[in-house]
Amino acid sequence: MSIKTKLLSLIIASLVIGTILILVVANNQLTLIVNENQDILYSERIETIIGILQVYDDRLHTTGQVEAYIDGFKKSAIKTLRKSYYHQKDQIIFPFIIDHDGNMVMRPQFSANAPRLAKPAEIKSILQIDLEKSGSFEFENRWYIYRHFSAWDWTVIYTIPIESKSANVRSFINTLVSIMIGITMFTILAIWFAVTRITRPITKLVMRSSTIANGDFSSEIEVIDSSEIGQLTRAFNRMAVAINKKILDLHREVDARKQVENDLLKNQYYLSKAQEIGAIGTWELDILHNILIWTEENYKIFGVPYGTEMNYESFLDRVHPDDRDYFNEKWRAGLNKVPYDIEHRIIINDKVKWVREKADIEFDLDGKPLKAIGFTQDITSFKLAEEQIKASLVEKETLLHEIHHRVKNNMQIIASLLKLQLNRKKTHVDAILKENISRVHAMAAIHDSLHQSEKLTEIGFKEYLQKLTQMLLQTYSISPAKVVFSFDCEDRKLGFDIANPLGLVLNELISNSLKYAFPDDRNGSINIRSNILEGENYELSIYDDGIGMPDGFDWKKTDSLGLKLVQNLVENQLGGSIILDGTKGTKFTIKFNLESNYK
Amino acid sequence: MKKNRRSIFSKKMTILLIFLLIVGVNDLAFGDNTSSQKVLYVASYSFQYAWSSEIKAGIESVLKSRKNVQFRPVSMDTMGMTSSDTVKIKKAALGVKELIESWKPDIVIASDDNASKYLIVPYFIGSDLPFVFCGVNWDASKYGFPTTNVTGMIEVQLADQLIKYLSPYAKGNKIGSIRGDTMTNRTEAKFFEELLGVKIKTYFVDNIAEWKIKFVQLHTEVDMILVGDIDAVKINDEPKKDVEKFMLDHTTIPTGCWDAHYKNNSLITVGGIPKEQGEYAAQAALEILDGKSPMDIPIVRNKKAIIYLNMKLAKKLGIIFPMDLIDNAQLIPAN
Repeated sequence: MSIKTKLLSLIIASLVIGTILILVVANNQLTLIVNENQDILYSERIETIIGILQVYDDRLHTTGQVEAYIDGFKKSAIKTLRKSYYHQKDQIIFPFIIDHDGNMVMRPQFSANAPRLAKPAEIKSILQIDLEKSGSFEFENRWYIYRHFSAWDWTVIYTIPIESKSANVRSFINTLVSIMIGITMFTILAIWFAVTRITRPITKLVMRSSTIANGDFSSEIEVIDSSEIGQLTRAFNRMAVAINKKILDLHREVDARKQVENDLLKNQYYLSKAQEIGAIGTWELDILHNILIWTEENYKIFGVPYGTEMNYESFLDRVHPDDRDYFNEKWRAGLNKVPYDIEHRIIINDKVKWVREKADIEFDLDGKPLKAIGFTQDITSFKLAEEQIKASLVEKETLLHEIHHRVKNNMQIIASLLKLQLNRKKTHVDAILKENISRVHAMAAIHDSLHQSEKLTEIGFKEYLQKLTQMLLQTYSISPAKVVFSFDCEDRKLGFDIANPLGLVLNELISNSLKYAFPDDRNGSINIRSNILEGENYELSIYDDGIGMPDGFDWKKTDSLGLKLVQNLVENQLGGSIILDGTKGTKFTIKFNLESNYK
Repeated sequence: MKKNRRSIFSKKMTILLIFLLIVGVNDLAFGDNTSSQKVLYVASYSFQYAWSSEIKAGIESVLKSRKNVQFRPVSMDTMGMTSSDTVKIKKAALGVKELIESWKPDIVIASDDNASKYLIVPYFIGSDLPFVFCGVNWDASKYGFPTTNVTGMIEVQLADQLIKYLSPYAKGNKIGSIRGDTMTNRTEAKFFEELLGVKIKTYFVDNIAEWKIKFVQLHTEVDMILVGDIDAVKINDEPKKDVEKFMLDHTTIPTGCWDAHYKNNSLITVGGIPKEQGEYAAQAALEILDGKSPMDIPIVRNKKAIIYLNMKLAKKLGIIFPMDLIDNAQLIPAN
């Protein structure tokens, strides 16, 4: 049922009920009022008649001859009253007068409507009233009111049909009914018009709401006026526009959220997969309430059924007994804001697993720990691999030591073989052999250094130099006291790729100094200096204070195999340069870049 | 929408203009009526005198029905003046004349003989100012009325009716009368005889003692007595009530009078009604103001009277009046 129908029904019902109530109340009240007024009205009318009779009686007494005039005055009075009160034919409301003996001294000249009035004695016997008093009564559908005029012992009576008595009330009620019906109809029409005017825009609003509910925001409701309904319509239109905009924004936001959700699901999937693949689980510990929340992967890592309630103690039970003290120590440190990142063992079904635990702990403003969020990584496989790698490395290192040792031994055997070829007489070949023996020793020394070094890939350069110079002094049978070596070098670790050619270069240059710089048993000194220059440029100088190079000696053009080997090794192997300064003694300065050679 | 609003506005303006035109035309059509018409009433006697005040009341009762009439009463105050006071009367009349010239009434109502004799006749006969007289006794021709500007009502005593009421209680038809010895009474007695067509035995007396003697004497000479104006005789120091008592004690035949002042002394009084004079004069004045010529309004006599029945004398004489008479009369109580 529409609002209009409800409203109209309510109003019509109210009006009809109100009208009926008004009519009922008005009828009752008016009847009471009319009855009272009728009493007053007809009492006054009777008093008027009695007043007229009194005037006549007064005039009668002014004559001083009452007996002579009384009949005349009474007749005259009746005549006057008749003129005043019986001027209508078929009068139904009229006064009449009964004398002491019950004779009708005045009555209307008709009998059809009140035949009994023609017999006053009958009236008196029927009515049984005391005519010497005053009062009123109803009898046979007529209402009577009477007063006694004592001067002449007459009773003046007014009689009215009861219908007539309430005729005015009925007439008024009829008029009232007509007016009320008119007002009701007019009110209903006015309200119908007003309600229609109010509900039409509301109906439009409802229809528009339906279209909006169906997603159609394309049309607007016409704003009829500036009333509250108009304002509502205007507000509704604004609301529809705003809702449309909001919906569009919402759609965009939903799309964006869906995208985010998809990304999130994807990330969750990736994370889950990553955790699964990487055997990483995450966890969160509510420190205050001792509630430990694990991800599914975390349950898997610990071999605990998914969903089992966990706390710090139940977690600790799964930690390897040997690691529990360690774990507790690290956890307490973490609670004191020391970074928490540990590896420990856990026991699952009597099997040992290694896990890495790392967590961030949150604190309140007072520094009290609140909760920890961390991850658990199953590193058992890494641990096993690490152990295997370590074992393999040890094995390989052993093998490499053995190789270097065997290479060194082989080279020493080669050098010994070459040495066995030396003649007692020192010949040119002997010199060549010595040089080569020296070269082999130089290389053997490198392998020996590599064999003895902790890392099999590099050697301590300073240590190698000392080993090389001692070996060369031995090779050329020169007393360390005759030629004194001094080193001004850093103990730089050099790789095999640099150490091997550099050792050969040093072997050649030092061998040249030992062979040619100090003839005639001259004493001398050889200084070897190395510097790391800017940009990992390595500078190495070999200086002897011997006799120096002959004048005009161009070492790069000499046929010396050793110097050619030096030039070749420096420029081609090391990618560097070499300078000879023969002004005072002999000084070779070699420069090359360490980085480029490591590459 | 705008067109409709303009149309409604035009209709409203048209209705308003029609309304204003109607009101305006109405004002133009009845504009003359809105101007005041002046009516001057000149009384010969003081307004303290009941006769003059009742005429004035009669005039006012008629004039109040007409709007925009300006009414101004003025008195010559000549009550009791005789021919020896002519100078005073003329002086009073002259004063009224000057008032008329200054106030410029549209019409003048003049009551009683002095106003006609000393104001209208000497100054306004044949003038443009209309006059309506009233209260002139018996005959207006003595002043030359009617004229082109004068008409009115003469005052007569309804002696014929009085005799009609007295006759049933008289033993015969002989009529007697007693009056003060004045010119007016003598003229009036003459008019009585002319009206009734019979000889009336009349005594004109000068004083109360003579009045008493002639009153008693008349009882022996006639069957009914018409009692005249007792105030016209010299009462000397005798209280009026004593005179009344004397007359009541000595009345044995029906007596009658025409002046309500003496209703306590006579069996039947048929008194004139001064208000009738005023009402008629005012009505005639309005007709003249409305354009009627005074010449077209004939001079008339008064016709109304109030009957007084003296029940004390009736009881004494054993008279029972018929109810028709009683119903139309005022009763003077027996006790």
